[in-house]
Amino acid sequence: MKRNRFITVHGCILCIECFFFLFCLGCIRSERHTRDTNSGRFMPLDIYVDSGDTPLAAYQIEIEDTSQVSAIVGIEGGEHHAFKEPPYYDSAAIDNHHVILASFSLNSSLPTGKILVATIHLLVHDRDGPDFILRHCITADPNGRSFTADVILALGDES
Amino acid sequence: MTEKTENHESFEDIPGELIANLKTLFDTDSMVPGSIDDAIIAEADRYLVRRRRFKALRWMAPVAAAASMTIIILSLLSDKDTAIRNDPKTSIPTIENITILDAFRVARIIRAGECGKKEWDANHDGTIDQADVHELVTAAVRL
Repeated sequence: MKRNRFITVHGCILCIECFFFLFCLGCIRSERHTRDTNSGRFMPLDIYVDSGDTPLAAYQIEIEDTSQVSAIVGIEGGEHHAFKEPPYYDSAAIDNHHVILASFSLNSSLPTGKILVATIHLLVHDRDGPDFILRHCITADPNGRSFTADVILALGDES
Repeated sequence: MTEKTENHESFEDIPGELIANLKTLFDTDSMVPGSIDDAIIAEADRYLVRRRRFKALRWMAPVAAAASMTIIILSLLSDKDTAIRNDPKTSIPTIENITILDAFRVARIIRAGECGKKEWDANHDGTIDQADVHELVTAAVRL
């Protein structure tokens, strides 16, 4: 009698554990399948810095998609030769929705006014589109002094 | 069990014939040797030890199953992040409160050929060069 109860209780425990394990495995596979197969749409996010009359020598911009519906798939440099190369970023930002971009130039010829400093290429999975916020921005002049500049984000047309 | 006792003193008032008949019923000439008793006791002990071991083991099976499932689930959940973090090409040192301004300052110092401060030796190789600039920049953009 006692042995039967033992077998019943432990059988139930094992069944519950197996069910939990298979459920978690299914969730993980489903998430990966969704992530892999949902093609979404590609959209560029242009990042402009308007430094006014002050030459822009360095910048650091932190951007996050708070809606978390987009994934960064690539980052390229800007239009001015001083920032033509892609900015520095953590490779963990790829396939993520959060990135810190930073770049500096030691060129004697530096841009002023509104210039494109970088473009982030996104894979957007949601119809409504991403919702980006700027968390922390730093801009500096050729002497390394920080100054206030406007940072403008422009979401381009999808492809 | 092996000791055979005969005490007839307390049965003096019982007829001898009855005693003889009873002796015939319950008495036996065969003796159980002590070695058989010992063997039975030893076998019983072994059986009880096996039972105790089984009792301990039967709890280990569900515990081991639960532990292995937890490990598999955790490894499945974290393998991608681990792959990114373990890549030596993407590893970034943990330097708090570093910004692009620090890297820019060091780059300007190197370009001007000035003698930099010891604290700018970010990679601790004894010299202040482009590797330190790279180290500072990667720290600045670290997520």
